[in-house]
Amino acid sequence: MLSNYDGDFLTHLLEQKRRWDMDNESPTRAFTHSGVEINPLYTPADIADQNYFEKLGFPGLPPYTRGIFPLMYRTRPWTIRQLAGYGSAEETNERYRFLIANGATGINGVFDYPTLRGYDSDDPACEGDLGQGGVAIDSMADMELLFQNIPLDEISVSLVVCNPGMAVTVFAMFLTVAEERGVPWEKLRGTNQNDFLMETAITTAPDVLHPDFSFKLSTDIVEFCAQHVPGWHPISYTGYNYREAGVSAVQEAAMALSNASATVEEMLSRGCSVDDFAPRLSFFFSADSDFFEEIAKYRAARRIWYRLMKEKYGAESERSQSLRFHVQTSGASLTPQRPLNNVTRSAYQALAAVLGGAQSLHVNAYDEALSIPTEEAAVTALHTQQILRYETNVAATTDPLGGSYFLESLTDELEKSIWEYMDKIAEMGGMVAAVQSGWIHNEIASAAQEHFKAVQSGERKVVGVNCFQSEREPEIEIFRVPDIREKQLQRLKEVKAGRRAEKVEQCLQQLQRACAENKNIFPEILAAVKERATLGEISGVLKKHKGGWVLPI
Amino acid sequence: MTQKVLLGKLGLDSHWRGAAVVAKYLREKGFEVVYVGNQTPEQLAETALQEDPALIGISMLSGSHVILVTRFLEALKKRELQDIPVVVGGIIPAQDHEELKEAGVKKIFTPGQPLDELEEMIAGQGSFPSSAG
Repeated sequence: MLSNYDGDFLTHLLEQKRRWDMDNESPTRAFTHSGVEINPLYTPADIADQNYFEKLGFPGLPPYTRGIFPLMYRTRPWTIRQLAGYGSAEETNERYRFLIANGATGINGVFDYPTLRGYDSDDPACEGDLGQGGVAIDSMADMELLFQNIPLDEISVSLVVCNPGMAVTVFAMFLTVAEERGVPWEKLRGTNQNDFLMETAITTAPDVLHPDFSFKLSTDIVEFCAQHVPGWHPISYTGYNYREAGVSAVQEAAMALSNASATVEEMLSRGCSVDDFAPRLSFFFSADSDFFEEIAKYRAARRIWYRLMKEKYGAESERSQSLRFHVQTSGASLTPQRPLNNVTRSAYQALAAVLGGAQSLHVNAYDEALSIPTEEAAVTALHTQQILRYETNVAATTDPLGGSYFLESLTDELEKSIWEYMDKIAEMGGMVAAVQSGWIHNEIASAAQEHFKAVQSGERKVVGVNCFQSEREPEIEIFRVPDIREKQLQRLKEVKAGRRAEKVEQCLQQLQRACAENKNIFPEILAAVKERATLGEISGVLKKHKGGWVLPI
Repeated sequence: MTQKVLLGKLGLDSHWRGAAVVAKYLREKGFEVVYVGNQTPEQLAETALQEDPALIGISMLSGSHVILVTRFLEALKKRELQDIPVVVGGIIPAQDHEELKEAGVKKIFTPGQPLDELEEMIAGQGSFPSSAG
């Protein structure tokens, strides 16, 4: 077997290293945030048995550890994709266009709490939450306004439709807007989150779809896109959000990869060929504060995905084997204390994402532990990305940390831990079973509890929170979401008055039948959306079919 | 007798991490915790009527805290439960603290803040009349 160094060199090195270790015993031990022990020093000995071609290879070639494109950012710069969304469609459209005018290269649209759970704005459950955390979408009328004056065939659009139960409808609305504007679906570029874990484990709500049904809906979109919207990523496994809920870097990657395995297996069981859909599966990871561990995580995940797809699922296409991912800097690491410190945190995290080979990036704004970003905070976050790209020169070469004794060793360690955790999930019967049993919820809650204790005890330092606290907290401007209730109710009323009520009713009944027959329901959703059925009406059918699940927390 | 704490979230706020961490923390300290997940202000006040807790904790990270907590406090009052101390935890900007406190919130916990005081507040409920807060 080829190894990185020859025998004589290694013998000599090991001898020298032993002496160095004896002379420099560390008084402390150190660990990554997920618990991998960090040595005080790494040398070629730590990567001596790694075969370069097996472990790293060249970028754009298996096993893709060094990146999925040969020249990476020289030819494929990461997409600057800042999250935006609040209030009504008009306000959010304005924020989208503001970001694009300032150099954002993709849209990253986030939806308000009622939309994420499939409620129309006139539902009593939405009390107080309209326009909070994202934009309110009830019907096609909102969706048309949301993308007004935005060329859908030119800019890639990420729809943060995290819950499959509403992703089916909001994505159908997006496709309908494109169709009615004459933009062919083949020209659309973008991503849905569409992750059933978001719906059933990571976030909470009063009336939740059963995990198996939410999972089924997510794969209905995957199947539909493989046939009709070839340039779209129908799903993005939201490791980021698992992480935000409390888990470690290892758990984040393992859960996301296991979740992707579940999709692949379901699609194969539907008779699809792996290379017909896998090229469009994508991932969404966090960039948290443990700098090297995050970089190692991305590299390990690429290596695992390659092996999984090639060896386990027999994928032949390079695109199926190469893991694409978006990164968001860690929201949970931000502090409401001394908010400007969050600029520094987010910048380091963003650097980790780029050194780890991310395809697209959102940098959090400094005020996100307090409110939706003000325009000032949003621009600072955008500029953080631009400084990274244009001033630091870190994007000039591919995988600049490749070959680092420490990073390669850590990448190996994480890879091992991630595989082990994935095996555990597989033994439980896979991701859907692990959610249904409440195991995932328990893992998340335990990890969150551990983090909490580490911060409370001071073991995990957070500047300005449990150490170096300021006597005087600076006051920053807080963003206030406008009251949009009247506007939304009025628009809903107009939509309902202007549509063919009988057709809507027929479509909803057909959807109900399709649910009962357990077939791909996406065509029925599209038909309902075209007749101007609302999100609440369509989600109502889905919830009636298989809602009422209570999160085991 | 074990003191009971009612924990919940108002509206459609999706974040459960904070509530789960506080629930575990309090259970480890020996309190009985009833976590009810997402409820409307009216529903949570009705739950309070049935559960008769020593303290009510509301976790809010949605940005809707002022409107929903205020409505909840009104709903409590309507049921003559205004003596049960209410605390709020989560993403609550300093600018809103005064308004919430004026509305009747006893204490606001923001991320990273030690929870010892919460424990003392609940424990204190046993030995002092509830209007002491």
